Amino acid sequence: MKKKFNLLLLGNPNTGKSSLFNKLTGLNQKVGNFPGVTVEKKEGTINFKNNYFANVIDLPGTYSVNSFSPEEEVVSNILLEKNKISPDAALVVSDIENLKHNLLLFTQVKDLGIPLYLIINMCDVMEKRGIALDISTLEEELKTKIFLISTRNSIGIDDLLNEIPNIFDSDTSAIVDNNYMDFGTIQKINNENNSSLFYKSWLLQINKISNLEDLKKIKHKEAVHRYRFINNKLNKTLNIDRKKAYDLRSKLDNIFLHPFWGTIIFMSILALIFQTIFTWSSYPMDFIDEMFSNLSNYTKAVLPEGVFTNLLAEGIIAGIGGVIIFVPQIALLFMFISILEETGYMSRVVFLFDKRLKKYGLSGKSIIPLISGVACAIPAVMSTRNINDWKQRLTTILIVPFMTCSARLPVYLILISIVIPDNYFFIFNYQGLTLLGLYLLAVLMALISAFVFSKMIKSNFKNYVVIEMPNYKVPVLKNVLFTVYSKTKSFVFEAGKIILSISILLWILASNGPGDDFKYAEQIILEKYDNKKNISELDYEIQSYRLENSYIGTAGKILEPILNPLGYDWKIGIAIITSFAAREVFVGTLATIFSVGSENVETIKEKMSYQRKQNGQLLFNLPTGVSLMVFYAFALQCMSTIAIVKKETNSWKWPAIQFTFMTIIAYISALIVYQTLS
Amino acid sequence: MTLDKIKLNQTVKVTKVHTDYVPTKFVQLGFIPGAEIALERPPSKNGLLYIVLDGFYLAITEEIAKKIEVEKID
Repeated sequence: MKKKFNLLLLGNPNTGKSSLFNKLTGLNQKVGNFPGVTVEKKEGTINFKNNYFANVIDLPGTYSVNSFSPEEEVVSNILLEKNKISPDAALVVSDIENLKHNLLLFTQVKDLGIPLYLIINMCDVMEKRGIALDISTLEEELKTKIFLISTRNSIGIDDLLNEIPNIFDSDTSAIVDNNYMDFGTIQKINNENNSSLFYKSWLLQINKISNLEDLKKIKHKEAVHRYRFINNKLNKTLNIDRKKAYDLRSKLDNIFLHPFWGTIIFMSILALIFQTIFTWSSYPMDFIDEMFSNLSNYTKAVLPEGVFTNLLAEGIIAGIGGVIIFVPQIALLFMFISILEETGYMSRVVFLFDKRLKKYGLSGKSIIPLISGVACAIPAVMSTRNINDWKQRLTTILIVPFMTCSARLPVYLILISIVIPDNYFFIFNYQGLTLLGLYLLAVLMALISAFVFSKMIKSNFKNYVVIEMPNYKVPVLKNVLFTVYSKTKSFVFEAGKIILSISILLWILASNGPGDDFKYAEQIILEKYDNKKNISELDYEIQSYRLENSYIGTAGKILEPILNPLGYDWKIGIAIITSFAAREVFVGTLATIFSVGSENVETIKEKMSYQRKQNGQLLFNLPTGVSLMVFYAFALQCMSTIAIVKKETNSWKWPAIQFTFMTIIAYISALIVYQTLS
Repeated sequence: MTLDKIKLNQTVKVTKVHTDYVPTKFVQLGFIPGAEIALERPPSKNGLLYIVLDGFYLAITEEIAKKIEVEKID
């Protein structure tokens, strides 16, 4: 036995594999991606006596060693040692209710000669479901030690933990004969005299077959042969008396899968989630915002004035605050998603919505990220992890930022109040209708874009609709908390790094300028107004002048010729650049540019209403205002979203494509709107 | 008959799987000759069949169900 060995956790989806992983490793776990792919990798450690320890790897759920998705390909590559992770030992997790189907993977892993135990989970429901299993006979038939456990009630976990160090004493011989293999292939590999390596050699051989139809027939034949073996073994050991079985599945399915009531219930659940993310999280978010603001002010007060203090207070602390502020939303969303998954309800959601969303290239599970995106795109993008099909997941990630997030609201509200008359069409207020129109426009563009992306994205894996419909269960609090913890941690430490870096960069660009105008801003303003304004007013004028002459201000002026056809001047250009940090910064930036002493919407609104272009026209007139709203509806003006998309797709390629695509759509749409209305 | 014709409260046995059309994944899920299938819920308008395959509850498309031949069990 090695001092440190890899212990793979394998199993079909919904067998409780991740719950077992949590039980075995506790908080000694880290979440990342497998190299080169966006498949989540969960690793944890178990320490044994004499400094031995197991590196437990929770592999993605799979039905067999043959791969039909990137997740299954990861598992297959590890088992066939095409990956750096060596498969030293394995725990194959199955569910007592689906033992027959779960054993297909078990027989394959067993035949690969990997030391393993068979774990049969959910033993606590055996009596309720009328299931009886002759464990000792099955152990003999499968030449494998079996552990009956319940991750829900912590049954059998300690026994398993005690026995893991002895896993290398397991019988590693193959259990299924080779009769399904064709003679030619057997001849090619017959120099291998170890029967357990024979299956591995066979898999490597058949994977070289280029004719897909031939390969398919071989895999079909193997599966049929293995199922015959499994049926034979279970006929001797497993007895299910369905008359004794009782569960609420049918009754609950009647409600949750009802085309009308099921949809209403789901919409109500979404409303609750949405309400939580949108409003309840605002309390902790406000607290975090205030805390970091106070910390920033305190830092400035206690440290000597200078560049370092400003960088720390306005760049680094504000940047960290900009990461932590999303934690309540992420934690709450994942708490709900985890509960929906744990209860088995998520499969019903897919059943209800799959057909409706499939025509746009999305999955039934895309509904959760899309609706969550109305609150914030960050947790919404993270929640796409629940979509199994990579292409559907990527399509969902790419369109989520079109949904009208809460950060767009301050921009819309101020622009609507300036350019849309407060009149009524029957009982409908024009301003309200405009806001509604912007929300609907976003949904429409998201669906059109989903259709476009689904046609453009190529996938090597075909997606077939097979929805496993697990039993309804009461969620286990510990599992829910583990999910919340791991998702939040991965956001803070992975996407957080990118967000912090961009925050600091934006701060540097806004706090430094290329010429004397920036350097001597204070002197220039003091001379210009010559004590005609009070100290506070002068201070805002200096800030405004500095921003105008900073690198960001210069960039805004450089962008002016590009933005002019949309009706924008350099001031709006600056606000567009700074609001890349977060869309709501648009209002704050305009407040600074127009030298408004507070972010009071009414005051800013008043100032903005009077601003004029060089040709004397109002800057914020109807064409410019509507054009700007359309621009913000479609543009990816959010560095945090870009950071999270990079993290979730494990590449800069997709955020770059997404940013370019959305910016082009935003520009063209805003151009059409402005040119048409003016 | 094919699986898409299955009725509620009826149990059928798979007799043939058209391997040219049915993806390998389905065979690996247990759609093999001899497997017993029952319909869990009446067919829905969303084109999905909610079935029980040897105690395994899952939903598949009618399109795939048409490629699986079955016979009634008395």
